[in-house]
Amino acid sequence: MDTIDSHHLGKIMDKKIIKKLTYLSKLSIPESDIDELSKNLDNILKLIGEIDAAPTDGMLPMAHPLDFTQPLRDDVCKKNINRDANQHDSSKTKDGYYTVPKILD
Amino acid sequence: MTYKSVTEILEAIKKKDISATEITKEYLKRIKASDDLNCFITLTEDSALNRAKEIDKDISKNNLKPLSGLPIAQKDIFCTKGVKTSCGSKMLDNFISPYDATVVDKLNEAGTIMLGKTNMDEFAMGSSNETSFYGAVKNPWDYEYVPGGSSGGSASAVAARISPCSTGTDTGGSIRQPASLCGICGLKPTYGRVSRFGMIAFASSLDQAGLFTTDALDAAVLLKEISGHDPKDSTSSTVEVPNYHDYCINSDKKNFTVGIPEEFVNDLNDDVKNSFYESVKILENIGCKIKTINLKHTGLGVSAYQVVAPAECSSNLSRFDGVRYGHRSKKSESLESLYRESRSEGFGKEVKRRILVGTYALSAGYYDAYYLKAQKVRNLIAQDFSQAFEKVDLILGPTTPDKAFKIGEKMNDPIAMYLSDVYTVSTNLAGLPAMSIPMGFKEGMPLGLQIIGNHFDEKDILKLSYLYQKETDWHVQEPGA
Repeated sequence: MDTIDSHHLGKIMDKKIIKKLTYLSKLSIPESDIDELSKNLDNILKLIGEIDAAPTDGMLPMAHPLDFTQPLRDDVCKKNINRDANQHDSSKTKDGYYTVPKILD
Repeated sequence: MTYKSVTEILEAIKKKDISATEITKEYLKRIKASDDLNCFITLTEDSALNRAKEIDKDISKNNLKPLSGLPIAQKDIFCTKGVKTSCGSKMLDNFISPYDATVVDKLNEAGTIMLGKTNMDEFAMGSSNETSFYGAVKNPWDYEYVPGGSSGGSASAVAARISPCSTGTDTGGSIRQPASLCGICGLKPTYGRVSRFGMIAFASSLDQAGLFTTDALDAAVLLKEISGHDPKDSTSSTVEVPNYHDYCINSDKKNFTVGIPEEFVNDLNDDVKNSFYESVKILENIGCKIKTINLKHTGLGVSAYQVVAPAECSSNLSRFDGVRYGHRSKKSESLESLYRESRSEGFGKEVKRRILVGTYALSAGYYDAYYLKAQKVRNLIAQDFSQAFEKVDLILGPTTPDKAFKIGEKMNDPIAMYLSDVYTVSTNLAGLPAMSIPMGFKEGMPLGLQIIGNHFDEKDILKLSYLYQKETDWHVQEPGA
């Protein structure tokens, strides 16, 4: 699958881009919903495109709202995972493992 | 029963005027009578009554905890051991959490009784509670109107007086906006004040747990119990937790310097503007000094938020793959189709839309233009606030541009929905604490006043709210009264 190229920047969300995005995000969108989705995504891109004109020269990106050192917990080995309890919510397990469709013949 | 607030209920239990069982039964009765509001996804009646009995036993032995016997509703975003935790999504309709969120754990430890899990927008993505897999929640002031979102069930339940308090989460306004639209108090603490462990993640650098109450003092009592560092959440802060309630009651502070950003009031409609300036007059009479300030990048808040939040959401929600927990499609023939079909069947339209926008913003060729740029704008917005807090103690504005809108009115227009958070998103981007308190009505529907503080200054937000509520009665007005 191709990457999304920068030449699409600012272009409308056409079916080709939506197809690539759904591939990347492991989603499928019914064909009947594509036109409405495309229109909505175009409007959202217009809205977020407003940041383009913001005066951010010399501004550092802010990934976290607080300027503090992350406290780390003690590096102590603990038994805190209960496999049976954690697998209780999976519909498909066998011998303590999760099962998935075959990936190798 | 005449108890109206958390503090009154706690006092009555302490004096043994009422038992935990009696108060729990009373609220369960009210919840059932208001079923048509659709506030709850799961009602935990049996476990609530069993717990109430245990608490009554403890009370009879004079073993009283800070919140002994207080009924509470938990937003269904918080993991609750042995109880369905759906996050408002078909994806987690079958999920029984194997552990408690730290917020739930702390509230249990403090003696609260969980009444149930409240309805919410799917994965907290929405401003109207209409994106829930379990249907829309109604606003108790008028059932044709939305309660706001994403914590709509929690807000509606407290406004309808079917729960004395509830928890919520706020990523872009999801506590303050529904509090405003339902006419109650909604407190979003500083990012890191309250642990996010066990709170299903939407946008991890913005999400924060908080509270709904009818009264500022109630929020002060509860905030102390849920705050503090949690070794299970390395982004939770080690900053000391004050006794907010005692500060509200005992501190003499009244002469706050309060800033009103021009950008928050310039485009208001007359009704909201009039209510807002009536509130400003009350604060001046209390002794506050009012200053006009500027937060000049406010207009970019929603745009930056709509890049940062979906980007983080697309990453966080990648964990839902149909393998370990959550919805698993029956159609899957290969591993790829198991992922795709499970996610496509499990997520609703708005969640899918946000995942796609986030995936786009993080894609090769777009990252710098959208995600990196949005993070720089986030810094601009945060700097606006830092500069403002050099001049003022607190910042004041309306919580929302208008009263609640009608159910269905904005569902086909995501932009109009996003813009209802215009005054709330900036504080999430900057990680600041803020609270919405009732400030009046427009055509019978409540309006909210937003008070924003500097990082970890919840105590002054609560103090000012407490002073305001001593002079007004908006917060004691009830729907249908």
